[in-house]
Amino acid sequence: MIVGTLCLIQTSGLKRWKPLAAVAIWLVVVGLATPAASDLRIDITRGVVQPLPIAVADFEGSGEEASRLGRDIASVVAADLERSGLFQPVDPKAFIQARPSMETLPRFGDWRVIDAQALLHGRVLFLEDGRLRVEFRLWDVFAEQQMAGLAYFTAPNNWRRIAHIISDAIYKRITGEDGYFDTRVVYIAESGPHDRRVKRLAIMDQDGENHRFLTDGRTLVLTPRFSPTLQEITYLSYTGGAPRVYIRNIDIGRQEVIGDFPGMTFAPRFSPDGEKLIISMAKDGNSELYTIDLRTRAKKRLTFSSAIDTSPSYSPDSRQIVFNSDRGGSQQLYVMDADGSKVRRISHGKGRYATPVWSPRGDLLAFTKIQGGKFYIGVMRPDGSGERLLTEGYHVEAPTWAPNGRVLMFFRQEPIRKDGGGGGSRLFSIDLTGRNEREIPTPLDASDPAWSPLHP
Amino acid sequence: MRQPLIYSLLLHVVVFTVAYFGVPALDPDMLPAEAPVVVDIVTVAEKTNVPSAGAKPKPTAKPKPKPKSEAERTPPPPPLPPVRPEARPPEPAPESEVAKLVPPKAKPTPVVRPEKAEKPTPKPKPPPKSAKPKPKPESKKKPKPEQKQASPNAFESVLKTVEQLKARPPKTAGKPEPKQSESALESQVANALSRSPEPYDAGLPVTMSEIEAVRRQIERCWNLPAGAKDAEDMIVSIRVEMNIDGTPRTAVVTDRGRMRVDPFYRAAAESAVRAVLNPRCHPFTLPREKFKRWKTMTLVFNPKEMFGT
Amino acid sequence: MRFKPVALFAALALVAACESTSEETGTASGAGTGAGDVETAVVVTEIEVEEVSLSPVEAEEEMVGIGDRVFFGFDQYTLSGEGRVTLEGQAALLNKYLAITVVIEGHADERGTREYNLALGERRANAAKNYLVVLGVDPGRIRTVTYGEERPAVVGSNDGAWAQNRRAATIVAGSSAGS
Repeated sequence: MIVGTLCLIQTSGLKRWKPLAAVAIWLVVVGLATPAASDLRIDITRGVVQPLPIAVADFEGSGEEASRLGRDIASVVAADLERSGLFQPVDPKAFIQARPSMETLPRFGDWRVIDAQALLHGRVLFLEDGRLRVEFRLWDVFAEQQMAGLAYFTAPNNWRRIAHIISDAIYKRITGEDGYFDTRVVYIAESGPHDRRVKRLAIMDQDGENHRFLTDGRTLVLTPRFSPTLQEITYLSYTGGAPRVYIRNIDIGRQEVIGDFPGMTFAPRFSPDGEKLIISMAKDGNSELYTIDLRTRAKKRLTFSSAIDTSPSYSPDSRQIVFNSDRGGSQQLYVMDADGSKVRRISHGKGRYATPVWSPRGDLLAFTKIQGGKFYIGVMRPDGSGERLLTEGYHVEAPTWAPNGRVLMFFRQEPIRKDGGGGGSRLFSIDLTGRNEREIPTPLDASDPAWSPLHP
Repeated sequence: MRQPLIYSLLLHVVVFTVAYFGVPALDPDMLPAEAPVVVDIVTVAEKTNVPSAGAKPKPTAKPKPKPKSEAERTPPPPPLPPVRPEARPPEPAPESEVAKLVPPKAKPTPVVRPEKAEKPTPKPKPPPKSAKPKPKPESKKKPKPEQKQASPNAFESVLKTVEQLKARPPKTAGKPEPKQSESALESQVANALSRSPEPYDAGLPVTMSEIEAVRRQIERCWNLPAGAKDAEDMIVSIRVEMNIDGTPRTAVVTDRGRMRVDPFYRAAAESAVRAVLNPRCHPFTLPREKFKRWKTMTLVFNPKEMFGT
Repeated sequence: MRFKPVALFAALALVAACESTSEETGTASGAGTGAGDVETAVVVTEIEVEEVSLSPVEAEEEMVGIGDRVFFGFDQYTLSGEGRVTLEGQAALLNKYLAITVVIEGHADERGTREYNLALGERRANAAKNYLVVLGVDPGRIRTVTYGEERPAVVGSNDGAWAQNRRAATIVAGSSAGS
């Protein structure tokens, strides 16, 4: 009881009462006065990390086509949620109430008994103007309450995006965080022998759908990155034989070289507002960081060191830049203010650190680490503390954040075997917690992924 | 010299004031007892702005601009017929057309560990022995999954690292202790329950071991928001009113204000409420004869130690 | 290859010119080669440059014979003693055939990150270039390009392959005689 009381005081949140609390403790202990008995208090300090069982019923639809769309939407949503690792769609075969009506309360008991903690169902309607109306309700099965209910209008051929948007809405409602399903990934598709690898820019939805190639593979391209404005990517291309940074409009397909530099430019990334590029420029064996204003084309040099300074990435508030440099003798992570001042090293572990990327959430940096003949993907706080290695392999590299700062994508390359086989590389995603690593399906080998922002 | 004196005097005054009037923070009335609303009710009408915004597919000349603008112009779509979630005693199920055709499967597969599915690609590790990346988690996991949720391993730190994974196995071995004690406790409690026929003896306090047993029960059903931002700081207090059969009658998050404004907190709070309401962890093994003591309880969910920070 | 006939012709012309032992131009000799003599005269002046020239293919062959690539240690870009010797041979070749221009490609092994390897390759190419320049080669004749880890010389995931791939390779790009 005493313990309980103390805890109550501590969590009462009344900071200013602290001295009082101390006194109260003393009183209780000495037994001068015992406050009126309060509730039984139980502290729960441990839990499990498991996907939330959610029932995703087929969306109902009047008519054959609407029904088919309803099924398709439900399956895309279920797949999205399942892939996140935070949800476990309940097998529809277990459903007792096959499909709740939009007009009435679900029979919660029927869903409780199959262990569903959340229930999603919806309806697809064709409107007279040819558009689609897709609506859904999300229920908390235990609390027997509606958590969300929304309706969307769109062109029928846009149903897949609507499904992703619904997934995002559910994800956000249940986890409190923005989703990342209505996003795309640009990456490098690889094919051919390893000494003459053909590399192409490719883009796809986050779940691998709507895949297409952006370049034909005649020119070597590397390290694409999305603009925060979404319609553009920046990347390195050997167009004309010299490696240079280009910007390409995804939809129009036109590419444009960026900056008039005497040396090669590489390692481009957009600033959070999309108005600048930050790149490396290498000349005479020395790589330095520059920014280029995309409107004025004015360039600004940020680093002054004979070392290799590359892989820069802005913090989401644009105030700082993280990059990797070997100025201290080996490849390590450094953070500086956006004007190039106050450079400080933040990685201090064993091994080499590379490809730092600032989380869109701002709380973490993801990086590649090389140590003892192995590669790792890890995260640390921007001050270098709290390093955690999420996954490892012969070669894992190039983490990129989902726009909600919760999930990372990277590529994993296999060693080349004696017989010349192997050496393939594929994309994977992993949760920030180190759980739920999964391959992202791509038609060819894949590397250098870059996650888009959420569709605006 | 005077300062300590003043302080001391002040303290004494405070002490006696408190002694006389009681500590404000301990006043049970301080705990907001609100209606048993557990989640916000989002009506479609309210939110339709959002969807229309979301429905605008693409600002560009994509095939979709049309729907976008349309959606934007669209007046709030006809609200879905209002469903009354408040209708607490649910199951009104007006249409009973669907008979229970499907035998309720006890549990589809709620507990499937994501890691299982996670390693789709066989990755040939050059040094087969140290094939840790994937395999590691797997092997680590192996021991635990069998015991599923009850496994003490399930409680291990929320945030995994490759190193921890390597180092873990030995620790894991040493860990089963909580589990044993749990089952021991549970059987004790069960015994106690079966032995004591007379309910409503308010005199007996709930013992620490009884509390511990309930704690273990709830912990198994608390699916904490592992990767959320500042998840370790989401401390949720829930006031629970109990039925005498050991099932919760109502569960109310005490900090309703924060729930309304902070979606992360709301998510954390809802996960705590689900832990309390999850029938898989009912009934709580509390002795009937002490019902008065646990008729209302405050459960405080604090994930801090799970993050090992 | 396409320069070879030209060179041959030029050489013959030179011989012919010598045989004539005439200080005057061919027009004065009046012999039947009439029209050709004018050309011969032109060629002669060029030949004095061409004399020390090679076709790119020949130059490339010679470059390979000398050693067209130098190797580096892991994450290193300093030249080894062996590498210097190789570059000295290259410099001799380049100083002999002044029309040749080269591209030095810098490469890295696959055990680094892509962007860093690009920078490392660039550094290696420049280390080689700088030494050639020290040895008297006009920097204007040397272009550098990095391929990072994109173009391994040896495909393989082992120390032997990686050592072969950490390299700066000097490729003959052209000859000013051809332009």
